[in-house]
Amino acid sequence: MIETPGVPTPSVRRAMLADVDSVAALFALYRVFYGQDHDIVAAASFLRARLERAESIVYIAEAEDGAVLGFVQVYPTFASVELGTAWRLNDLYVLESVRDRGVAARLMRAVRDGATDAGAVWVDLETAADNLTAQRLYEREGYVRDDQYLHYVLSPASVERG
Amino acid sequence: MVSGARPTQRRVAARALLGAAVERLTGLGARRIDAFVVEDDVQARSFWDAMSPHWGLDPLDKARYVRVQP
Repeated sequence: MIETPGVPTPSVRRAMLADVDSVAALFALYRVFYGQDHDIVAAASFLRARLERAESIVYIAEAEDGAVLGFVQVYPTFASVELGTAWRLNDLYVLESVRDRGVAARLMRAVRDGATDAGAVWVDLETAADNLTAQRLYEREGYVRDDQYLHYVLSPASVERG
Repeated sequence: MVSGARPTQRRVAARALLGAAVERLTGLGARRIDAFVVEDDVQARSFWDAMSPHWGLDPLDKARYVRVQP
């Protein structure tokens, strides 16, 4: 993990409903990165629904003053072949101002430990094929690139038609 | 894929199952539906390729990573 001398190490914990508004500010920025409008209200609404229904698990990295520096969101799912549960690491974001300080690695380790505690048989994620910085992080944290599967998607038009 | 039937029957059954699943998921509000298919499975790939243009390889150039938990 990359640590910066003189910079306090952020703490990482699981987010609760009371954290939704502070996480939503970062979640909105994360969505902007993927071409969505900056909408904190919508981001908060989505997060609140996921947490209220226990449909996602969110970990946050906090500075000493409690400011949220980054978050990761995972979706529990099932692993049919293994007859078990698995986690999809769906969203990971760290404020630009604190990148390269090991925040993302700490969040990834919280996911690893949480998945272990939950008995998940694997954790998977997807990233842009050209995002080599992220891929190096994932490989350092024990993730292996999957070249065994092809990813098919239903076209948006077909989804809309139902 | 559906085992224990002739190839044509399997494909018809698979199409029907997939159609029912898509209908159910879109009915629940799904905005994205995807599937991971073993690259070496010729029959499976043939099936999914035959579902074009509704289904196709993800146009976004993404890489999947997996961490198997100890």
